Amino acid sequence: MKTILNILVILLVTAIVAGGVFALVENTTLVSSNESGHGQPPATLNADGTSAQPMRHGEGDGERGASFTRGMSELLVTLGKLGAITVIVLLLQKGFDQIRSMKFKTIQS
Amino acid sequence: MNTSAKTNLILDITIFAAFLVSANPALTGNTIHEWLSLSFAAAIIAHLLFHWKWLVNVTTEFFKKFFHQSRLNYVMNLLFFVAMTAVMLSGLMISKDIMSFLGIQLDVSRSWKTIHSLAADASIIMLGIHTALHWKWIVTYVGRYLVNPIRGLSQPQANAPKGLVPQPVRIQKEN
Repeated sequence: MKTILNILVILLVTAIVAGGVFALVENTTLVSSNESGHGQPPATLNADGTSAQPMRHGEGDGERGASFTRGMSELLVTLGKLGAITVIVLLLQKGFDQIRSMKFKTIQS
Repeated sequence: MNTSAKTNLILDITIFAAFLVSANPALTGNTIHEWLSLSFAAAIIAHLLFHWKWLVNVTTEFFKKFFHQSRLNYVMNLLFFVAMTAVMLSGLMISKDIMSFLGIQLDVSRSWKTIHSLAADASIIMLGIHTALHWKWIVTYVGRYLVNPIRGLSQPQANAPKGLVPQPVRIQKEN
């Protein structure tokens, strides 16, 4: 019973966040130049149904097919990115810890 | 929900693998990408339920102590949650298979695709930070539940008997 209540809370928070994202995207629709057309500048549009360009389903079908080689290389790139970010954050943490310990030693002496 | 570290580790590894696979639709094709990502949401809910106590504690204590590691964790997790929600929502908006399966026809603006790729990039960055902030836990439990058992399988046990070993026998003399 308690778990169901917790799940409902999570779903409620998710719905609130999703609603916020939806409102943000639909009210200020930013279309980049390469999507809006050939060589056209980026434009901010109101998504009231009149000015926003509808996306037809079936567009970008080039992404649909699976390719193991391409997929694996992309997966390795993602893993590399993740690893790089993790290492950077760990190094930053270590640096901050060292600065903190140096400050602590200075105060003590 | 009380769970062991082993259960947490198994779920986290599963979520990590699912994230990697679903973040690369070229590997699986669009249909698996969409359905895997949808089921990924259920795994995230389970992950949040497993850490419910921590979530409630830090939420209630958030404004009491200003500089604290858990506060940084909390903010990063919140941003990660927002990024993942944005990925899911935009993914559903541009979905071809799930929406057609449900019989829903959407005429959405093209910018959802841009939002989808931006939020996906943001969630990769947030996952990297999330991993770094929980690095000690990961190293400890991966070592305990994965590395050590595998190492134990490859190394012969020190106390195991090597072949037949003569045992002392006590002989009782008859009177």
